[in-house]
Amino acid sequence: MIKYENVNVSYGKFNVLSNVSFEVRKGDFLHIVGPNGSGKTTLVKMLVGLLEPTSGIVEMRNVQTGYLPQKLNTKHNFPMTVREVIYSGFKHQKLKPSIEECELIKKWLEIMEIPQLFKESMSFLSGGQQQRVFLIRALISDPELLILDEPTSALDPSFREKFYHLLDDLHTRNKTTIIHVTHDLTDAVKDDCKIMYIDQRIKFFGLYKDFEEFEHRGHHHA
Amino acid sequence: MLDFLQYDFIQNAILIGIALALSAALLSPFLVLNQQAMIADGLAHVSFAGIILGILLSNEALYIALPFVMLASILIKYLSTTKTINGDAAIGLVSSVSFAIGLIMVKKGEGFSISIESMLVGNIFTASNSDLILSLVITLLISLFILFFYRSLFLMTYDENYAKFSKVKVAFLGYALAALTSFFIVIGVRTIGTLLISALVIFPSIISSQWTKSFRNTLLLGIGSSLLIVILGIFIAHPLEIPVGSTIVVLYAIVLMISLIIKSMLRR
Repeated sequence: MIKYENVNVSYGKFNVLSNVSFEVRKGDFLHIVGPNGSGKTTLVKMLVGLLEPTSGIVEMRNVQTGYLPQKLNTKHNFPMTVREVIYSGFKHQKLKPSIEECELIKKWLEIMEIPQLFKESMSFLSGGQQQRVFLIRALISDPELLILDEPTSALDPSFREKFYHLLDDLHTRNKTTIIHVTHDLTDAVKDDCKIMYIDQRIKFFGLYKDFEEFEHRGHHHA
Repeated sequence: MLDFLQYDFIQNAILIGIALALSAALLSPFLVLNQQAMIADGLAHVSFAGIILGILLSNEALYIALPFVMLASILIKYLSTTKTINGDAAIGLVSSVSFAIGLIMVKKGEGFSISIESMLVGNIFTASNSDLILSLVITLLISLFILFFYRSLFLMTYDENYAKFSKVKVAFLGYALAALTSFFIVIGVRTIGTLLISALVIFPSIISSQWTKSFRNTLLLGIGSSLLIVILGIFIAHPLEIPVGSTIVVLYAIVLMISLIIKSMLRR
């Protein structure tokens, strides 16, 4: 589904990514870990069309994609409701959401435990509530590929657990391909997940059980 | 009391006022809420030079002024996309240079007989039929543009990166928005004035966003309040014999002040 071939990204003389090659297959659940500034976000930015590699090739099949960026846009005093933000996640958008689309948005708000916020202004929400709204935007179009860049950074621990269950469910039931950039592997990983440890170069790419061995040899993720 | 409505020039002024208020309020949230409020002000300065150039070179100033200002808007947009110059600095650069060139042309241009003051404050009551037609044309163009691209423009305004991810043609829509804004400004400068036309773009969403939660309602309330204020401005300015543009801007400022006061009282 996704293929990186000898991808390099540099800003001036500073190399962010060197010689990165890997493949993601349909139905994979890939966790990308690495220290701060290791190039994790740069890696996914190329997938969502926000960055071109300096050299090398990034190939991706044209599939319905959901994306949660690392930096959430929360412009101060910008007038927009939760409904407007989530509606922007639908693939085909008309001037006004249909009744079915509104129902779907309400259903997701209930799953995310914020049903009362449907018509609320985004600027009144807490960081955690805003993150849930942006998560719904990424999930609402029932994507084949889901790209999440640190999706739980503002969520409280109990909801974080629920969220990972939801991802597992999407992965096993809908065969959604998931790429998950994170700092915190412990509560997320199942044995059949793939792990990429990156620090400018790919230091590890494989199954979780093999990653534990790699960690024991002295490599630690952030 | 409403006897003056029978005059053609008043009817003309009201129709132009409605058209300009509608155009400006439609553009307003996409510029103001995207930190581009000053682009209207910058382009108004550019159009000052454009119109002077037009008067010197042609019988119909708009033929020169319109492409001149559109080019400037594209230049501003381009400069602000290069990483070396910020958007607001690009506006400041292009507008001050154009304004300076305009003033030199007024001084040195032969046969230039129009007063600078009339260009700075404009006069909606002396607007011609062609001004009316052009105002209606630009209103139609802007309305269609916003209606057709509303979702993409909304996405671009609040999160440009997410818009790019969603395959919105961000660059094309940005240039189109700048071109339509420059068209609006050139038409508006002749009737509302160089110094005041940007207020028509800036005030509507600043006022309406005090009262609305959603982007859509900000747009709609901006349109409603602008139409009311512009028409009221024309009705007040004519009997008092004061400039219409200035009256409209003062009315906007009063409404904004009242909004801010009521909001701060409600918060207590």
